Amino acid sequence: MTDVVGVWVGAILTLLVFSYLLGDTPLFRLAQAIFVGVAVGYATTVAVYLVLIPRLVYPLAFDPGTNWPLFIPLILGLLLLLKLRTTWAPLGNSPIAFLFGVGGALAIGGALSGALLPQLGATLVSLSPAQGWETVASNVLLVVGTIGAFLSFRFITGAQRPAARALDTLGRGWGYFGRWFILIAFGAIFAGTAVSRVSILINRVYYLMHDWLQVVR
Amino acid sequence: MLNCVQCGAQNREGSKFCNNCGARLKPQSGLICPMCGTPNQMESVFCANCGARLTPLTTASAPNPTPSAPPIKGLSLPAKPATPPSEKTDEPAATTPADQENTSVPDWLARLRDTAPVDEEPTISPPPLSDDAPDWVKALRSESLEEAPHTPAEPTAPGVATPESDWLTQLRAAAPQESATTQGEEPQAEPEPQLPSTPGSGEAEMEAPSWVEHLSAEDTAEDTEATSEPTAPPWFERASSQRSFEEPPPEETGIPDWLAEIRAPTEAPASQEPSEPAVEQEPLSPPAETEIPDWLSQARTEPVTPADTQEVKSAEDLIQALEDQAPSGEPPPEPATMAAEVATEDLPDWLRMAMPAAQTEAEQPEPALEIPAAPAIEPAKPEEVPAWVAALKPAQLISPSPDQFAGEPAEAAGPLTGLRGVLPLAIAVAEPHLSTKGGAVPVTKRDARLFDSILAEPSSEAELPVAKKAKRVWTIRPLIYLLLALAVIVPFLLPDDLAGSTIRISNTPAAEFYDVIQQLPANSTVVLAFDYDPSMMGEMDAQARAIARDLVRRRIKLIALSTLETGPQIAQRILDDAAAGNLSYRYGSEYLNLGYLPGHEAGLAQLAATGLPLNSPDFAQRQSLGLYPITGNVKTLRDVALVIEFAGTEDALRMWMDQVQSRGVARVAAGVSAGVEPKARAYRDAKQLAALLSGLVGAAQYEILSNQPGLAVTSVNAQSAAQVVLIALIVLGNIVYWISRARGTAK
Repeated sequence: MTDVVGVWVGAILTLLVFSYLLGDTPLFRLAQAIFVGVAVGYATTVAVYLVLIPRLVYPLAFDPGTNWPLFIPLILGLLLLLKLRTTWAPLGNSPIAFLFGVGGALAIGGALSGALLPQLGATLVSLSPAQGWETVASNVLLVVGTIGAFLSFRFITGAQRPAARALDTLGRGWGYFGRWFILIAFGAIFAGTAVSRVSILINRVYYLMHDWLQVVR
Repeated sequence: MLNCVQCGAQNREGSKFCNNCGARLKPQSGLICPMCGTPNQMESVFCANCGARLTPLTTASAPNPTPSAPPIKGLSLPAKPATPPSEKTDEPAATTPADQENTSVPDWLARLRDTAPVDEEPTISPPPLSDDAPDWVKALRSESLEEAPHTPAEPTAPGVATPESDWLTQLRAAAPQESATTQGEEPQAEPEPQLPSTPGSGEAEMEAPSWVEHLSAEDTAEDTEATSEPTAPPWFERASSQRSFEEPPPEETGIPDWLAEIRAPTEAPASQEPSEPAVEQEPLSPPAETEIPDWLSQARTEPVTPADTQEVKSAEDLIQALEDQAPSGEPPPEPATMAAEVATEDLPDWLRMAMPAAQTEAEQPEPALEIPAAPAIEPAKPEEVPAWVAALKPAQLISPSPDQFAGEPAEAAGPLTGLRGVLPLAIAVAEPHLSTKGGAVPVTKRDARLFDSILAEPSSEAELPVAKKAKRVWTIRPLIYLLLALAVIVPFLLPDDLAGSTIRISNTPAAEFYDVIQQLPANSTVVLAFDYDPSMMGEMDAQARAIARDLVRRRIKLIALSTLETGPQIAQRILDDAAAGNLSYRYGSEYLNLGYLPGHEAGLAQLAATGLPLNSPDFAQRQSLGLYPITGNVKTLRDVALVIEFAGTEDALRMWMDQVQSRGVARVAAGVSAGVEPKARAYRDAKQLAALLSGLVGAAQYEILSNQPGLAVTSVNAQSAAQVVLIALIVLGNIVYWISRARGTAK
């Protein structure tokens, strides 16, 4: 019985969302409000029952001597709540600064070690013919596309010397070539997003036809 | 010729800039504004450019019941509170001039007295004007002469046929009456407005300052040849006596009249008897300073101080400048010579032209004067008069209609009593009153008239046009919806044999992923990170289910976690479904759900650094993680064989790569959404990801590889059909666009 109710609720909510095909209808607004409310309520419940109570309240309540460092996040969390009142809001700047500082440091360090340096190293490929023409062609295309993508963001012009002028022309042409690499990458991202949304559509249609209407096996 | 507005120099016709000072020349066809130099029409009262007043304020010509002060030297006399004659006569001689200076003299007059001996040197009058000179120029000349209080009375025969303007005649006619009244003589028969300055007159409503009356007295002496000397203030006497020792007496003959005026002040103090200011000055004490506005106080001092009248470069100033520059050892030059030199060399052209030709010719035979023979100078034409002089032209001469302020009310009290047009109320009322806030423009007025006309029209609701229902425009959007729906629904209605028949699995990323899983040792532990929310379940669930089932089948222990609040619930469902295929799989020993890992990047960094949070409860049973058997051998990520990240967004994958994979604590494979694949492929190409599975197609490939066809294989045909429809629509849309562009109808 519970499954049947759940299926009906899911089917009705799915149809409410599909009503957006007819425009921004109140039915869609209703489904949207339900989803947002349920998501926030569920996230709050999880944060309270899976994080705050077991990881903060209980340790401080039953063994504060051992878990005294937890008072630091407790104080910072309470100061963060002062942001709700305008007059006391400045007291909440400290936990905000702490969060932004730690988050920024982690993001910068992780970006260097996890994305920038490894990706730069990945472009240092071999162009030796011994690896086979397919690999060489792929590597050449990789190097040319990477450098071209960088040169497409080159905004320097007005060289005077002949050599510099020739280099400027080469950079401009290479940058134009790299711009097409960027456009192709953007097209691939857009196509992947479209495919992802089609997959979600298929899942919803299958849910209606299989779980609700049961017209397909 | 064009006269420069700045310096008065003459320039050729058509000149744009002055040859002397470089100022921009403007055609002087009209009345030039003294403030901005803009030419205006002769009858203009205010400048059309800057709004400055072009004509001086004048007294009312109409009979005024209120006693008004005569126009003396262009000053508006302040009204003094009415003082009973008895009070003035009670203390006739008690006040000495010294006391007056200390007590009743206002500040502005005190300053004037202090500076007068220095500034007001006996000056030499400018050369007389020719008869052809304009009347107003003569008036200016006479005013400049009158402004010098020490100028002696020039014997002028009454009835001399000197052409004078009417206003000058009026001015002179008013002066004797005032003088007579001041000196206690018989009043004039003419009912001219008088200054009630004498106690005996019985009209003490308005009194002029003593210095003004002295000046008036001098004017009277000029006209009536009065023998009585006007009472001069002590500072004036000192200035006159000092000047008399410095200048030699000029010759009596061969000196023009205007030069005789120069000599007169040098002789006058010598023969001047001590004045008796007791009676003369006491009633004429100036009014209280508080009753005089500041601007009027300043204006009152201006005519008396020559230093402040630099604009009018009279001959007195020029001669005085020459005297100052002359060597001390040399005898001072003859005043006539100086005047002649000034008149011929330093004087402005317009003033030099105004000199009478006959006079210069008469002085020519006198060798001592060394006056060069002046050519026949034409009288100054009106268009050659500098603009600043034109601005000083009396209003009676400028304005074609003296009664232009006739409609204005006359001032009944205060220092401007009797003046009309002080506040041009009639003009202000007559001006159109437009809103300055919104910028009254013709468009605004037009709209206002339109609005008024609309309001005036009778309202009839029946005549209002009925709003037609918007015509529904057909678009291609419903057709797209229909085609996409058919592409998604129809494949589910096809026989099952066709499901997944077109999927290619060899040499695909899914095959690589499958190989990685197959290489995992049995009883090893794999961490599954469910970092997608319910909105991505339709795509990501297929991957997670296929991989979890395969891992369970290979008896690999599973530990699930999520950096999203909604992830643990999704993970629990998938783990339970996967464990249902193997009855030996128990929660806590073979698989475990850690639940929500807070902190995002910080939480992942802590997980990579310190390992599993063993003191925290799990998601399903809320017990400490350290109590489960699966955590007996797994304390950190280094103890797991593989980390599989199910990332619905790019940020989730990036966090794992930045905080976990970069630390080298574990191998990381990823199953991502199709939208994240372009970014995730870079990680795979850089060997940062051990394997990559993408989208619903990747899930279908993995199901086929693991021989467990499921939802992904069932849905992949619909996915393919929908993608074909989308490609067809994109191509068709581009074709239509290019055709429309070629026809020039593209929007």
